Amino acid sequence: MTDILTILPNIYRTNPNLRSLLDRHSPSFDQCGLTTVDLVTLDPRSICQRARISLNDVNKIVDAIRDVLNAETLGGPVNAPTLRSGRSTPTGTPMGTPTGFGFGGGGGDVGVAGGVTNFRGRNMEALSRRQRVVGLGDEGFDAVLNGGFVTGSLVEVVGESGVGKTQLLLRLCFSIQQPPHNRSAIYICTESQISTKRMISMLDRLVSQEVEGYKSLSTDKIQTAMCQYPETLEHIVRYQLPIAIERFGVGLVVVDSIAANFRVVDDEAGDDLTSTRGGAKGRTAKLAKRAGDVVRLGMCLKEMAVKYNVAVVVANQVSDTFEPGWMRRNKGFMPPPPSSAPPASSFAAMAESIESSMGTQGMTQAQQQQGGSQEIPLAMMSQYGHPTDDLMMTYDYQAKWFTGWGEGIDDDDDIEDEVLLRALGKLKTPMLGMSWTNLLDGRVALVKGSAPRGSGGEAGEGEGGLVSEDGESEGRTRRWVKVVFAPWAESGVLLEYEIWEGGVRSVRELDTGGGEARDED
Amino acid sequence: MDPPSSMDYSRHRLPTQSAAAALATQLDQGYGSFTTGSEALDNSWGGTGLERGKLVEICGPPGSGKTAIALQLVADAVSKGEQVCWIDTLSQCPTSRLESIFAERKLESRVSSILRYQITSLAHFFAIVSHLTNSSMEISLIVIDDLSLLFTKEFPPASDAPQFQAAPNKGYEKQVDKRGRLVADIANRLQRLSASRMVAAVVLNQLATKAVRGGGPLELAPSVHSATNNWTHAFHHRILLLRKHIPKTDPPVDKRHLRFIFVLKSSGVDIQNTNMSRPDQFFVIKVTKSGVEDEKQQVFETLTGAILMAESFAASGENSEEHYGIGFSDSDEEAEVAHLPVGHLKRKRSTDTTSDIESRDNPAANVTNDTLGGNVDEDDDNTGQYSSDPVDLVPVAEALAGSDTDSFPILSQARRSHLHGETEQSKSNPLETVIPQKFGRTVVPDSDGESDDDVL
Repeated sequence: MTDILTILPNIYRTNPNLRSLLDRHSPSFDQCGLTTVDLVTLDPRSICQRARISLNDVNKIVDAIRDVLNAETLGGPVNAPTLRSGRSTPTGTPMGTPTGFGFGGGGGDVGVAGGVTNFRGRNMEALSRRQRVVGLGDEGFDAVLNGGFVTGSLVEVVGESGVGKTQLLLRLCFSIQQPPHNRSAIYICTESQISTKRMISMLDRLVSQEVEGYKSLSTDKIQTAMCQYPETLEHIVRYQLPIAIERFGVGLVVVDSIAANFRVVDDEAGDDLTSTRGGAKGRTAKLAKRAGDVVRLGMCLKEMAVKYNVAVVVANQVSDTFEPGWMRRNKGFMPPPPSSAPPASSFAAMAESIESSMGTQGMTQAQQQQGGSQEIPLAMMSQYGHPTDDLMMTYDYQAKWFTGWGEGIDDDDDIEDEVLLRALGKLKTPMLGMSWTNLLDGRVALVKGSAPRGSGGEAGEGEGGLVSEDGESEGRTRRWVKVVFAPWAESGVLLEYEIWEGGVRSVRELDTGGGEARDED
Repeated sequence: MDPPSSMDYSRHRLPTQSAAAALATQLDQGYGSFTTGSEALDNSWGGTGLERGKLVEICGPPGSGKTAIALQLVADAVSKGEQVCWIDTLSQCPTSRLESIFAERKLESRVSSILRYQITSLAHFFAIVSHLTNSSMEISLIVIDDLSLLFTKEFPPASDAPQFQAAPNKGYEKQVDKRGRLVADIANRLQRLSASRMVAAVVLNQLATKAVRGGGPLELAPSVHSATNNWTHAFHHRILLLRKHIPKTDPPVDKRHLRFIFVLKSSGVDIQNTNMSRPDQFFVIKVTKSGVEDEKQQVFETLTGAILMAESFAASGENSEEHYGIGFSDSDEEAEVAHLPVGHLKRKRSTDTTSDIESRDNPAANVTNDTLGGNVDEDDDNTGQYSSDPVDLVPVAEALAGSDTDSFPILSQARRSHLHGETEQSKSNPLETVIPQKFGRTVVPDSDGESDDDVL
């Protein structure tokens, strides 16, 4: 519980004496849930009351923590002894005052003293030198992504199965090896076996191209790991990845996919709970716990991205959304959904509000309820898109702009492409919900749709999950990439792409140009 | 918040100064304000944009343009030669975008003048805030992008799990209480920081889902927020960025870029809490690659339909006690619009105080959307005379020019006459950089007594 060592891993290096103190007292910190923030914000006396530790010890610990915090935020070398001795004297003063204003004058004085050197490395320029963009080697893609995936950030690639997420991620693993980066990649696979065959065929194809830098590509520089359980994943990310990153000179971490593990847990929960209706509460708790797990994992990934300046790209799946419960109650202005969905049980209605935020649960349920019919007609979608304005602050209303699906179905007269409209109009949502979305730096959605005559077969195809199957089957599958949000790229731009042996590439000549037309303005 | 008149007072004496002198000093300083590129937004922040010493919260879902507005403010501050501090929490500032914005304004060389801190936990955040409060750095704008991630990290969902509550320890503080305490603490410290250092601080805040009792639709509410309003009290301005369904427009607009700004709080006045009958305010901005702009007029005309629709619904729903954030969406909505030709914006942005003065000479104007006919917007930036004054309908052209509404005629007059005379001079006045730090040190008495003395 106490997070001193996770937040400040360097604290013993700065303050070797602290080890014995912390060893002695961390159990009592644990017991009363005192975390690092508490230690620096609470009055030392109330800490010593709560934890039943002598004031002297509390002061020592708090002082040490403040020193390290100051050193870390202000960028001083943490283990430089001169800085430490310089700092420990001034921080001692404000500690005497019980209402001590945070970190006292110590941080200020030292920060100013060491300011010139510290801040030089801390300005924006330093960051922009550090930030690298991992492109995909395709003009169209890189234009849409404004260069590619940025290091130091956590980006999600979300899409239905078979839309080409893995292709894109594999291509990235090669991109990171190319000249500006020259680093290697770690590919963590949670779902299925790593498609090494695909990797090798992609490699062959890329090497055979006469492009500078492609010669040196190799699969040796892609470390792969398989991981089955959410706990394992978190453990790997938290403890083993940092070491691997340093050892292999990693510039890219791929997790394919993030939701798989959580979905497994979910199914279990669904099994024992759908049988008994009384389990709804337990299920809610489980969902909440899972949300916590997701957030912790996401935080780990984010921290790692920032700390080691790697690009973390995570694949995510979509689940089907279905008509929210509140809408069902307002049947007055809603025509019944034309799909063959049977009325949901009252139990489903109860748990629904959580589900629609969590996304994943919807997957299992929606599949049970709606059978295979994943194509929701456009007519319903436009109803969905016209909530009254007092619903504007609801998740369901706003979600279409950050999930990637459902935006501009009803109003976008500028999309003339029928297939694209259908693809965007599917009731899909990325898994793991809002709390996960908030962690992301960027989200890239891959949508696919097939020409109208193939739409009947589309429903059944969703379960297949054939990844490397190209869309040459009947009713040609077309795919678009869309930046849903990303701080460095313009959001909402659509681009049609296709999968080829060497990864993914944009389709240059568009027929009616739904995507391209939007692209230009 | 008045600066001391002179610095030769002994440290043992209470430095006082007459109000007139204080006013003069304040005008002397010409405390900068930073524009967002959207005139309407600047208006809601007091006419000239974000002033120093003010604290602003920007809430919004991912991709709604929070960072875009922050970047715009940074660019504006840097172009005015101010020192800017950007605090990244667990994400990183999009430097490529920053650079392109800077390049557009020919400021490339100044990117390096932005201080940037990367923090990874709440504890670090407290450290940095107190460092900024105490240091003598001359910072005029601080951006925190974004605060909610730190809280998410500290309090992941379900962190108040039963296993911790099962064995209630005497010293155990419930996570909810702890969160509330930390939120209030941060609000407090930020307020102190911005007031004592005359720093404009921008806090970005994400939205989190919030289940509503009774099984209504899942709502969104600012992620960092305290139930007791400690949080909202700290801010001078709060805005919420949302996207909104836009009906088919005749000349097709690119809706991708449109964001709706809802003013939750403006110049210390809670928009939806103080007066529910008062129409809520929103306006539309355009967030593009190159920055933030007001949307052109034609869009608003076409939006009228949507707005009228909203009004018809507004009569029905009144469940705004559910949480504070829904008020604006329940009650009437109305376009508050400063529609600007883009050319005007460009000029406005690049010109300095002199052109501001020109606009100040116009009488206080209410920016209205006359296409709405009866829809009237009270100016939101008058701090004193907030209550229902008769409102003039001002033609668009005038509304454009008269963007500055000043509720204190004397003050504005003084400032006007002053600025007329000394605009250039105050720019180059070397004192300008020195005084602001004195400024707050004496004003906020309880901000760490000891460390102030050494500067004075």
